[in-house]
Amino acid sequence: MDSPVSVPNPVAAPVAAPAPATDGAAAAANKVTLIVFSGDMDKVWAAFNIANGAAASGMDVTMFFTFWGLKILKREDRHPKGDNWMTKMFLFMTRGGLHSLKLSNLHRGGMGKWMMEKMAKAKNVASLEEMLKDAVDLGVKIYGCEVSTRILGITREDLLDCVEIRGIATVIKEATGSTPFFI
Amino acid sequence: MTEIKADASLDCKGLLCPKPMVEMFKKMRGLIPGQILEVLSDDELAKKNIPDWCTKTGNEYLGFTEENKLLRFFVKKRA
Repeated sequence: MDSPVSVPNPVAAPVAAPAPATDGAAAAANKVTLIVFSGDMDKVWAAFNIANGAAASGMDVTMFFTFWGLKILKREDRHPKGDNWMTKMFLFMTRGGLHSLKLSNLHRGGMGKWMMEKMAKAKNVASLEEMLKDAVDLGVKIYGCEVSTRILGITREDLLDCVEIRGIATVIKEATGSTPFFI
Repeated sequence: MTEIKADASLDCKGLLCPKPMVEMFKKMRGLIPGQILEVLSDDELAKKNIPDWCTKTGNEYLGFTEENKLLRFFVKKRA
């Protein structure tokens, strides 16, 4: 018996024609959006490199810190209280801010990170702290994910002054027509 | 290259990517269109980076001079 509803065969379905190529880069907005999900020091470092390079090239840059990435934006002079025993425990396990990040590889209990920082300093590479300062100075928008703060029981007061708490609607708005990075 | 008179100078010696860009961008904010910024660097990659930065930002790249590994770049601020 034939089904009255025709089910399209996904394999046979015509492939949607690619959107007509616009005038290349000229048509794209002069924007970069970085979703910083990772809280690994090296990855965040790379994120700031891209962000600052783009901002210094006159681009409009948005950095959205979510999940583990939120750690970078925590103030180091206070400890978030959390709102129940689980968030308290979790916040204790992820205590610290910018300076407490670990390397994603070869961290070796802090030895690898110590060496990496020393090597970078010897070569005059800006530290994470300086890069965040530069980013703010260049007008990079620093957004903290609202849902992540809710889950973790972090309040606005627990975050650095340069941070604005925003939701995904803002990220999507900023990301539309921009070059996106997910780190 | 004929002598170019710069209106401002920026020392980027020893700085690594993207710091020179960041410093150039900040310095450029203080200049008026048509003024020329001189950038000192000892980084070979600057020969690629600075023209690329100019293409992206619309500032005019005037060229560079080189003596004893010291590079001197000249960039004219866009209108």
